[in-house]
Amino acid sequence: MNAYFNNIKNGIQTVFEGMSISLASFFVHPITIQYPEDDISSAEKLKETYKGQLGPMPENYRGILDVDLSICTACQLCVKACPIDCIVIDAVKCDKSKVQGTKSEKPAVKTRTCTRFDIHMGKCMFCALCTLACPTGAIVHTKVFEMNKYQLQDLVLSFVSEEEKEKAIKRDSELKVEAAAEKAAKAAKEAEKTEEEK
Amino acid sequence: MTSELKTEHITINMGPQHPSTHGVIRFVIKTDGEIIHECDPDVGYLHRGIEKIAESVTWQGFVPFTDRVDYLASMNANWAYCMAVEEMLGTEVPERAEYIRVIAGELNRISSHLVAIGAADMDMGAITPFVQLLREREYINDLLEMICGARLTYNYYSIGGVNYDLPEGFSIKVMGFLDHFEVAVEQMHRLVTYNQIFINRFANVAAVSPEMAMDYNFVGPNLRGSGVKYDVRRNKPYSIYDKLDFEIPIGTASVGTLGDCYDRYFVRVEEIRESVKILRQCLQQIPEGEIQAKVKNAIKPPVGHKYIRTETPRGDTGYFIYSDGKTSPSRLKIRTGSFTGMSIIPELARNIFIADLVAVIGSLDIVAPELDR
Repeated sequence: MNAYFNNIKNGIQTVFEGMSISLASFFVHPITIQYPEDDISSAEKLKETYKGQLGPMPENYRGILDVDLSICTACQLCVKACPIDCIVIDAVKCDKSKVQGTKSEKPAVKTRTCTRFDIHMGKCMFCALCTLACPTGAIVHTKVFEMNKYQLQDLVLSFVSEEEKEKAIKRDSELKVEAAAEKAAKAAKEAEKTEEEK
Repeated sequence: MTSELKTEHITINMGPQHPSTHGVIRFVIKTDGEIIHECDPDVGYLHRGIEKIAESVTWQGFVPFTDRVDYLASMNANWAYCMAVEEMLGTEVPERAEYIRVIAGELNRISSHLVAIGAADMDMGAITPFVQLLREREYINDLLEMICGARLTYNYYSIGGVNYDLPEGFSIKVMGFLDHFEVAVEQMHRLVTYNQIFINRFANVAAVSPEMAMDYNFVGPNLRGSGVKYDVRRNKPYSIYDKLDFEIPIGTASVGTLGDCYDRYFVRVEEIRESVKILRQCLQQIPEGEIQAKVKNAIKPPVGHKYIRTETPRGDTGYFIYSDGKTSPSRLKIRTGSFTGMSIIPELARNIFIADLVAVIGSLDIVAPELDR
């Protein structure tokens, strides 16, 4: 009989103890951001509303990918690193130049340029293996995460425009002609040399 | 009249879409009124063929897929796989990287147990604790986001170390969180653990004796809940766990019988406290230095096989790898804790109420994607 009443007493007591904790939540600042209504791009404004409980997004946040083609050497390491093959690169030869990457102090040598650099963000799983593999730091994750599109093919990001592509192909064919001419000149010179030796 | 009335058993489906099955699992239940006569768990709804995918991606490229095996404890899954490949290659992981791995792994263990406890509470009809615990988990997510940039599928561990170094001021932030968190755990105790209604729902339900637990190959907190003191971190120490000081909590039958739902629940709560202890030690001891051992770009482990066991939040997770010296595994097998927890359900569910089956599933902490891979 005693145990029976103890049980009831315990039940009521512990329930009210839990209730007191729930009630205390009324007096703390909200922690859930009302996302579409609140502008989350400015961390300062959010801190005001939520009384300093929120930090800004971390610098290394893994949002959608971005490519800086001016320092990309078209080495295709990101393509090899990607486990689901969502990056496609076509490359042609270009004028030899040195580019300064963001990862190391030593400049990298660029001999090829992209005519196509497509990333299918619909397939991408944001694992960052491509950014880790990139020797120059050309491919990076941005802090953008809002990327809804109406069409699936809109999720394919193309970083090389048609004009740039045509330009690169044109320059490539010019370089091919130049290389062929150089080769021919060299061959002619060698032939002269052998004749002279004779 | 003495003749017995024979009633017909009704076969009903619990799941695949059921709020208390923790993902897409189906239970075919034969009931006699409110009492379960026979329960047949039907798994495989979330099978994604991850083991087969391993055969077509590179060794490093498989790490993000291990995130998807157990989405609540991705760090630990990364760890187990990376450790297996490192053992095959014979790579020494730098000490700082080992410490970072333990910190990230234990943080993830806390967050995983928070969900396990919260979901078990929610299955019992208590929504408030779930929300309160998810709020704490949010802080951990923020911390893990700080070190790797992702909140759920981290891909933080690499073969031979970790991908990024700890950011500045990380240890101060974690220390601040731990101070706040210990208070929150106490609050949670007052909210649910000592609640009489909760105790009545969990205590004496589906008790698993130590012998039965070992017969059914229980692992992790479920095994320890039955009073068997076995933890891979202690009994087969890997990484730096032999240098750390922590206890292995086991079920003590504090309110019911040994190995009941309440014991399994309480072991998880105690494990959270131990993880906090480990985190404090690691943050004090962490040395400076390299975070990544030198590993070739194209990893090609020698021909052979390796089985590695680690203690993840859901128990003893094993990765068996068979390499034929190529750039991708020849065969990979993942052994997870949820699956062994699932195999005992037909036995436990006999002659209990349907509402108690929900308690059993909640206390076993089953995660559907880990079950099916």
